[in-house]
Amino acid sequence: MQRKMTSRKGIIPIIAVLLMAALSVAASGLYYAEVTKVVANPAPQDVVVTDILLSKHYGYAYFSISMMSNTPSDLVFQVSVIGEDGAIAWTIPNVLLPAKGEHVATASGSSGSDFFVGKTYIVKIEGDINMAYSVECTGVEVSSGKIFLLAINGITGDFTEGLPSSIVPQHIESATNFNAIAEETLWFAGATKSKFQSLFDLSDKCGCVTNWSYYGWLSGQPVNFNITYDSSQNTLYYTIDDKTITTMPDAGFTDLYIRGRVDGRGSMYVTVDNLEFNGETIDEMINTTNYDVLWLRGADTSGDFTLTGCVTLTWSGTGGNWGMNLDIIGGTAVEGGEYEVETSIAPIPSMQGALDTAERLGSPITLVTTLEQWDAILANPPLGAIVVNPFGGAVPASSWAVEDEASAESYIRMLSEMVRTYSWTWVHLGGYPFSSVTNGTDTVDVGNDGAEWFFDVSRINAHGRGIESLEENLLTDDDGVSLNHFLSVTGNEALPGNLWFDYGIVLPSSETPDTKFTFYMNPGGVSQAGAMSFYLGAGYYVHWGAPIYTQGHSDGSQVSDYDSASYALMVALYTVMR
Amino acid sequence: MYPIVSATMNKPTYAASISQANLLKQGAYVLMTANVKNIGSGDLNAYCVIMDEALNEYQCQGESRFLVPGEHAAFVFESKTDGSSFMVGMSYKIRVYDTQHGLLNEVTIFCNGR
Repeated sequence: MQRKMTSRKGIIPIIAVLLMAALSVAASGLYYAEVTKVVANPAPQDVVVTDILLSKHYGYAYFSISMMSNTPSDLVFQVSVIGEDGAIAWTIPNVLLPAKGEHVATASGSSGSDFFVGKTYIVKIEGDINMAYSVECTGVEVSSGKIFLLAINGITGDFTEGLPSSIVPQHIESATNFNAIAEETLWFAGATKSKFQSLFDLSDKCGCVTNWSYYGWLSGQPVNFNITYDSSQNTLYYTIDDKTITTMPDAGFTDLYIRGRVDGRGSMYVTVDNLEFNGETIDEMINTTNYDVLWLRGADTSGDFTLTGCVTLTWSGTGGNWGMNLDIIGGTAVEGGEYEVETSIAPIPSMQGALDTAERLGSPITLVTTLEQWDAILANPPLGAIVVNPFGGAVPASSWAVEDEASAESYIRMLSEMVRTYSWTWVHLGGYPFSSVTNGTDTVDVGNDGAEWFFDVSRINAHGRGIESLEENLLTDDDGVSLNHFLSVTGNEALPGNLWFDYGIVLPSSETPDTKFTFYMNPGGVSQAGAMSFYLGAGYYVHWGAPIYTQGHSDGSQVSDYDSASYALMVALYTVMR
Repeated sequence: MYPIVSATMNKPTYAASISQANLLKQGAYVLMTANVKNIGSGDLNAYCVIMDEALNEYQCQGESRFLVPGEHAAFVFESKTDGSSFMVGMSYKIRVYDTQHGLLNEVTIFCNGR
């Protein structure tokens, strides 16, 4: 009896020990699960950015970022550098930071015009952890002044669409802005990966699907797409990878948009890159975790066309409802009217010449495409701006300045004040300077008075026509900043020795404006200069008299408006640099 | 371990921490990044906002994020045009809300940049 009782009592501690052991194992399991989850979910302090470098050499730029990880798992980031205009200058996708390791991501190329030396730029790091840093740009540049090119749509046409062989892609980063710009959306070529769907499809203007096919999207895997429009058959061919579907789209589309959208929680990216339209490379991409539209401004959709690119849909750790969507949209855009204004020179090639030269020299340039944008600049003038007017004698202005001659005079005097006060450089590309003021609809012609108001002198004009010689003293300065040296280090060819100018400026015998440089001068000793820069208060006026030939009249090779604008911007930047 | 034990034994708690938040401005462009962690014992549907001086709230991109206890999410607010609402050198509030339980946490950060 005694033994039996002892035996029963002996079982209880054994059961207790077993229970405790079981609890211990269970707790260890829970602990391990918790630890695993935390390890797979890195904290911000587990990633350190050890070094960032941004440097430019005129038009070339280089960026590098060094990162170190203290986590036991690999991490993937996307690193973006924000350029001077607030848009992404560089994106480095899929930066793999190995477990407990280091990585240096780099980017380089012709992006010098996105940065100013001495200014700081934001570096955005997105992924499992978000971070933001700023880095100062170092290196060499021509000018610290931003160039504003007056490419106002509505004056002699829509320039952004008319620039030769150029599509000017424009990002639209909200649905509100897209709805304001896209007047009509007439067809959609979609690609969808969501919790419930994996497909690509074609839809009509109502958004109703007209054709579709299943496609098994794989996370992070780039897939080529092709949109081809056969205008004779009014048929749209949409190919993803090796699958093609077709539709007959609603007519009337003039513009192409590429829209990436992400909905729901979790880490998701829509990336579209390697874009080409009719064989022309589009140097822009979409890489969004939210919403981004790329408007292919200037893409000619009036006939047959082919748009190709590469789409990557990336997702991880999604829960609940989620989805990613790419749409290529054919539609129309709200645009200003088109009017014809006498400009003396051809604005479109002039703009392209200025644009390409600025990019080559690494000078940030902003296209001012609306008068509202121009008014905003005048209302809040930036210091040291370089304003290029490609309309020859016509000066773009808002309606208030084109009411009558008095309003035109007020406007031109205001521009002069901007130059004097805010150290602007006004670059004139040809024609009689300030001889008319226009908003595209109404024009006030003021003749020679315009230049006199601008210079605030009683007599000046620009009707000198003839051969002018490049000033030798500018070429041979031996202090390291001669014109030849400047052109050489910036990768440009020497300026022609002689040019036949159409609009040489004729200086008055009295009240002569202060000259900074004479680039081309009449060899006969006449007070006439084809290209000259003047001091105007704290700024400059650069006169470029629109040369036609490289020698005497019809004697040499022709100078295109493209080359003329390129030369003009170079001498303007040389003026500012020295 | 604590959130699991807490969730098992008690009524869930709802809390979030905000770490490594940055507010950088570059002219009209503005970027805010923040990393939010669920430090409570209940699940969260968290979203993040930044407030300007006029107490206007700018919500980070994307919808709310589902976070189990111990999990963290990275938030970003980015705008090309709202830079004028933030001044370099001034401080601004970042708030984290839960869609059901309201305000969870608030921190103040300085705006840097130019």
